[in-house]
Amino acid sequence: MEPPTITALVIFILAYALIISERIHRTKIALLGAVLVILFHILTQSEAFHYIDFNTIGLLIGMMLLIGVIKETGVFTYIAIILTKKTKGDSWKILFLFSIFTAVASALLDNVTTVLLIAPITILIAEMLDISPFPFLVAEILASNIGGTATLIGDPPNILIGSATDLSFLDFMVNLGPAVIIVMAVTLLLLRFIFRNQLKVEFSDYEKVLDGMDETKVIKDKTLLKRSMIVLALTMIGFMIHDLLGLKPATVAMAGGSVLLVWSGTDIEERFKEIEWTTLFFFIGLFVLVGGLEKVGLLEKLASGVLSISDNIIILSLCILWVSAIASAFLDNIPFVAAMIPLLASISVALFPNVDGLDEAAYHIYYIKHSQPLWWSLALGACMGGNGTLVGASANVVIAGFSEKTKSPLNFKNYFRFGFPLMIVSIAISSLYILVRYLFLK
Amino acid sequence: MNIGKYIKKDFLKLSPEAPLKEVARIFFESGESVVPVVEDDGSLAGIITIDDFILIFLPEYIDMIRSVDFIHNFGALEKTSFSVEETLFVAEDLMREGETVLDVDDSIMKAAATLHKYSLSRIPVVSDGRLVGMISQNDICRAIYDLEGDQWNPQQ
Repeated sequence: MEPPTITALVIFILAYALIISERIHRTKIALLGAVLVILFHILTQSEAFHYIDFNTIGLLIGMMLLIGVIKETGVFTYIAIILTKKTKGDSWKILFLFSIFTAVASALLDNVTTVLLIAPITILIAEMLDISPFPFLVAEILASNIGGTATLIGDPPNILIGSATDLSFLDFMVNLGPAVIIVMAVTLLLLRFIFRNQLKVEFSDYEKVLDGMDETKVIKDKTLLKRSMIVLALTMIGFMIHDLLGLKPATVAMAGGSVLLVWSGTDIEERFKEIEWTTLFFFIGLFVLVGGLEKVGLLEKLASGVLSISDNIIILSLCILWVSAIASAFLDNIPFVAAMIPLLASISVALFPNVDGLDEAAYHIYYIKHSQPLWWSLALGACMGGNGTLVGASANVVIAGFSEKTKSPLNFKNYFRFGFPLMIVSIAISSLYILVRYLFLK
Repeated sequence: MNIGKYIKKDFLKLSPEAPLKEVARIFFESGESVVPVVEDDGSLAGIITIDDFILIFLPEYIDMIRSVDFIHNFGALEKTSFSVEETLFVAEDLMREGETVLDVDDSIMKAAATLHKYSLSRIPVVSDGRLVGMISQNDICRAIYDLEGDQWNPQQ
């Protein structure tokens, strides 16, 4: 190996080891690693900037701005109350409706914000109805990660994959949506069985509690709610047709975010305080770190190593699915996916070489089109794998934090008992889905 | 000008081992929102605010819910949260230590600014580590307009 290759590899391994150890904040490590890549002349400063993917950063910023305003409206609490009233105090129905709500919201917004808004009201309602919040919180963790898998904007791994492959929002929904719906349905059935005893209890006074909740008092500013829902709907439509419009998803998100900033009359300083700068700079650092590896050609070598084991795309897809799922259950899925993307790109190029002499843009579309099962497997594994343990995804950690304030807090052990088997079930279903959809129905 | 002559030397206090019921009684009887916790040897251990006290009977996630206007009946939560039998807390457990204390030689300005910074209505005043009195925002009001007198005299 050439000296720059060795330097790049050492920086990368050290940075990833430190990120995994969680001793120092991941953003600090990613930024320092990125700077070292430039200091050691693996990338020039302008090359480093070239590797920072604005598609990902722009999409995150746009959605953070949009969500910041939506949070203010109280719409989540409003929906939660309406749903609770529909259940007439039946614990299973509450679990079912809240899980679906969490899944849908996670598909459209980011998972962490979704659970930040839903978990406190869930605990409150459960405790008012004298039911343990535990089954609901487990269900909401699972639902947020499963729901987030369905769309390009639902979970950071998907944002990264979408941006790298130029697969559209619609491609994600069409290819991942069916798998997500099946996994969600099976998971809910299993949860009903697993928690059958806890969900049996019925609070005798539920009517007084439910009738006492007045959802109209939650919405303080109707104009703000109306405007933010209109912008959210338009943004979602924009995502659906971004390909037709010839626009990147980041442009759609930034459009939604900036239009709502102006139209809502919100305080810009307040909104910008809520932008998660640590997340954004983590991505920036990671892009440069992985860019260094790409530049020295290490990932191509690794790709040819992988291909020497098997060059069957379905076998490779299933391997990627399971490896991603197990890795994401214990590690942060963002750095994992960031490193997997250039590796998968190299594998795809080797599997589908440019025999027709297509130009660069046309060839990119060509090999991505043919290598799609690999990318969908990465998305399914990395997103749903997060359900495996309490540290598998940020949403899990947030919910665990809230649960500490209840009588039955979630911890690594009591979550693992339910989360890990259910994650394995979801990946088994995904395996079947990959086989049926991309092998038998091809 | 220092706070020495404006402090109140007559006040109710708690020992670190006082049970919660005793804490509640002191708040109720004194009508104050800050009560000092004092060791047997007279040294100041810390303070307890009425807000910190009431907060232990509220679910902690309540802060994550923007408002409770929409709830009229807390159902089972009302009973479980206000069940006092199980609580093993004593005064010491909800005490704030160290930070919020003034010396008899401190100025009125410092007292006013400190009360404001910590959002407290009154804080303990020590001399050589021993608690000698309490100074409140009300005492500051008196100090501002009645700089020399010992007694508040509105007719002056």
